[in-house]
Amino acid sequence: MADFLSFTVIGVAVGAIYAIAASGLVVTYATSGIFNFAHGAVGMFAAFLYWQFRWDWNFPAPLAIFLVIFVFCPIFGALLERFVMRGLQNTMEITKLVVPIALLLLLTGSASWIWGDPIPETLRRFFGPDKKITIGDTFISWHHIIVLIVAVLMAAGLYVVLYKMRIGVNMRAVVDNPELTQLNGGRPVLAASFSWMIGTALAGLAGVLIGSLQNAAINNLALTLLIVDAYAAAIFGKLRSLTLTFVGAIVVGLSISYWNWLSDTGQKWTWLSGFRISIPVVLLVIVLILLPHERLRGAVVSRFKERFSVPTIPKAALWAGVLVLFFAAAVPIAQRKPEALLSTGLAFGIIALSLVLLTGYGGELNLAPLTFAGIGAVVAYQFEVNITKGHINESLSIWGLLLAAAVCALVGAIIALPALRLRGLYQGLVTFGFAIFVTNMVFKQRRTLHFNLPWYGDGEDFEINIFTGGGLFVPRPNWFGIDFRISNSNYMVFLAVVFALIGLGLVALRRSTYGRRLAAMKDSPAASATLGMSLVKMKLSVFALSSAIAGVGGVLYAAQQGASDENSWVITASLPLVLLTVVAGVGYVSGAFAGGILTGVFFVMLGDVFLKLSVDYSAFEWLFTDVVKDFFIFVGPAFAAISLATSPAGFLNDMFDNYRPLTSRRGLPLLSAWVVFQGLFYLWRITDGIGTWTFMLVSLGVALLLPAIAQVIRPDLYIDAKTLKQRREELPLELVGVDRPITAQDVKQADAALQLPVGVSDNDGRS
Amino acid sequence: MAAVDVLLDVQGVTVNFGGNRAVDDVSLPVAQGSLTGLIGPNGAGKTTLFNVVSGLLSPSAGSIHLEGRNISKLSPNKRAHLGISRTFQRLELFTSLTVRENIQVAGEISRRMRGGYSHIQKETDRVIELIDLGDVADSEVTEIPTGLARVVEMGRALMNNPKVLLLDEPASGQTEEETREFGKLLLRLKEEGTTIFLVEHDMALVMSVCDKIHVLDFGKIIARGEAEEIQTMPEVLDAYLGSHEMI
Repeated sequence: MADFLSFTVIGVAVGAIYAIAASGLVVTYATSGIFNFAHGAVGMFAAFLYWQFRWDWNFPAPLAIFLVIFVFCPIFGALLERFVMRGLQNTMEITKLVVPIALLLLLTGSASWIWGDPIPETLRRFFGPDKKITIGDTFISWHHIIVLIVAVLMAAGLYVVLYKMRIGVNMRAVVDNPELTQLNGGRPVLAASFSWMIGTALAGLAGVLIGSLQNAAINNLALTLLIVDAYAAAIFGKLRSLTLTFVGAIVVGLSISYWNWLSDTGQKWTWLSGFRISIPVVLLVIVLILLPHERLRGAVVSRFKERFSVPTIPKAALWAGVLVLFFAAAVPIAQRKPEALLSTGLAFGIIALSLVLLTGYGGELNLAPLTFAGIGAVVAYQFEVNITKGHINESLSIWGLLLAAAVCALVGAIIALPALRLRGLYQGLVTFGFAIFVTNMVFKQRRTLHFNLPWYGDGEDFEINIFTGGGLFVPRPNWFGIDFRISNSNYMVFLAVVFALIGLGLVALRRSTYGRRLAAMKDSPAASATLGMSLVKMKLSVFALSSAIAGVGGVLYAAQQGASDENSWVITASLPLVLLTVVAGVGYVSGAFAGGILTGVFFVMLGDVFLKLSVDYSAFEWLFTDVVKDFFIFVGPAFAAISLATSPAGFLNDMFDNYRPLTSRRGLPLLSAWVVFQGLFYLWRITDGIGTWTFMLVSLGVALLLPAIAQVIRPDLYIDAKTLKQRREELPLELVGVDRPITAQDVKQADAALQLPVGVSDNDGRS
Repeated sequence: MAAVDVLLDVQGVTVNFGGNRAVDDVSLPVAQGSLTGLIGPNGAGKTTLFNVVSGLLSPSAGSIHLEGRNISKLSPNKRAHLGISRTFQRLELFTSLTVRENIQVAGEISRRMRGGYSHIQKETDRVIELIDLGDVADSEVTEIPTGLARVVEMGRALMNNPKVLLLDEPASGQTEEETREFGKLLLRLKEEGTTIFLVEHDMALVMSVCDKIHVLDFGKIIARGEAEEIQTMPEVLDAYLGSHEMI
């Protein structure tokens, strides 16, 4: 009984922290329609800041709390609303998801950049770890009691703000109907700003409380994910009801605590030891599945400017050839490390191709491509261990690769089942929860599981040991008489060929009947269904196919690395890949390539550039290594998301517009001149006339400047492109005034369209 | 009217949105081969009723019958297989596809379109010619005017070889001239045997083409009859304009 009481108190206390975090999420979502994926990261950052004030600089606890929760967090929240979130109105669902993800990466990256990771110091409980009171046989720590008191105060405070104060009425009105609120003199902008201040402060409060509760060295990713556990509670409240959110939070807290009790804090059923951390996401997925069926609605895509053109198959084949040629040409000049980096980039690119199919073509979401990739790698590894019986140093078997693809397809189809009923944010959350579950339950599994399959072998056990030794080994192939195992160059070209083939296959698929149906489903599920499409079959098939591609990419990535560990496949590794692919252009095969290269190569290489500078200029070593290099490695990917503001369809879309005139008949001489120059320059390099760095920098520079050079030499080439761009930026008449203010030109245009005589409207557009 | 002649039968349909009753016990037969109109002021519940018929929305009460068969429990795609096609008031075009592809993909989705790829291509060409979209066939659907976009939606619906075609304000956004041509097209489709159920605000069009007209106001059917009868009914005039002037 005493145990029951203490586990209940602990459960309620943890639940109370989740309630605080989840309420913050609900308050911001309700007023702005943006699910702040970075909520957990904000809490983590606040906890780190608290550590800085309290334990590094030894401020008194009340002052430290005041600075973090009442100064830093609200200011940060207001800035976030003003400069990031406000711009996300009327953008595509994926953009609304990806920008907060960028913020998450920015915060976790910044924490690593500023404090290192983990902070060697401990975030201690309030009043110390040993201060507790005794009720009967039960001990309750002061920290838990404080948490409970704070939660109750917070609930009362929120109630007063939302229901008794003018600003709260304003906020609730915005939730119900922003336009009407504005017409009635309410101020939606003020309400949004205020709600982000509150939301951020609540995230910070939860971060400080839960960080201190751990009473251990704090790790930024672990702390971020700890607050992510509160998402289940927020979804339980349907992102609207604070009462239900509180109930959900307490349920999550108690479930974890009781599981600890039942499983003897993980001592019993050791292979289930990861389950405790998975409980919140399991609850999250259950709640998502039980949510009422979402009504079929159109995607209202006509409002958005994210549109992707599809290349013809011959053109795609040409580009596939160019890609392979490029990597083949890199072989004589690249050294071992760049080759390994480029191979990693290509493998990431193959995994990102799964996103092109799923999100770019099909409009469905998966935030965890690397989880599927990891499953692929594990399957291929198991195949080597169990089927080929330990000849793991031989070569990758094609059957292992195919089995990996098949298993991933099956898992993808299973994940699609809840996703069938969900769209956008909720679908993203299912994949997010799935990633955390698989990481805890499968990738972190250290125990060997034995299965005795009666119909298999001669009574041997089927063994599954995943990462038993902390890593898994997937061999590289030895196919078509070419050995890819020792030669990095061979393997890099092999990966380029695989990427080119799958990419070409995707373009062909998009141009097929299936591809058109996929586009139809993406653009308007409602219209597709009323034309006779079974959305169930369509979604299952596209999830399965895309997961299979991710699985193949995963096997090849694992083989590239040699031995890979669980950290290769975690959600925090997936997010940058998703982000950078969307930033490049998720509707294009080249977007996957750029996403992969940016993730695997670009930021690491930038880091290397500064490392080299730090060697050359040792006086500035501190600046180049600790500041600039770490900045690019930790924070760089997040900054890439800024380009989404100007290029929602990805920066490649704009690049294509700039290069396209060169491929026209009139532009061909210029293009040929460049190809000849590049060829000669390449010859100069391989005859050792110049060094690799010079070659790379000049080639890259000329390639990037090519459109600008072309514009100077042949300005006539760009006239068409400019008009094209102008036309693209033109708004449909009915959106003028909604998306931008009405100009005199618009009034003239409208008059003409309505066949009104000249002079009916005055200059201000009033009729 | 004999029961067998009713192709689509809406029986006692009620739809509640929270505490708000959008459609209230509406019964409405659409006769085989007819061109039936449904009119009413904005917010009367016309589109909601279309959503119920096409299966996008489950009614709180009531049922839908096609050729005597209760189809109330069927999903939208199964209803399409049985021959119900529709267009949308708020355009639901496939914006990544061209005009031609929009129409072609409808044939590729539809199970009522028999035959292989070349047959679908031929049908696509036929429909494009029928609805006179040849000039814009290879344009992006986002680049054509709203009036034409509605015609594309109709062409898409026709690729399903519908038994009954639900048109939700197909003429809005069209010029007067376009609407006149559109009226002729509707009559031609009717002659070819397609039953049409039309929601429209353009009274001139409705009055000139519809055999029978139902008037919906605040979710209730307040009147029904032929064009001449409807135009003189005082309750219709009140509901519509609050005055006794209609066209």
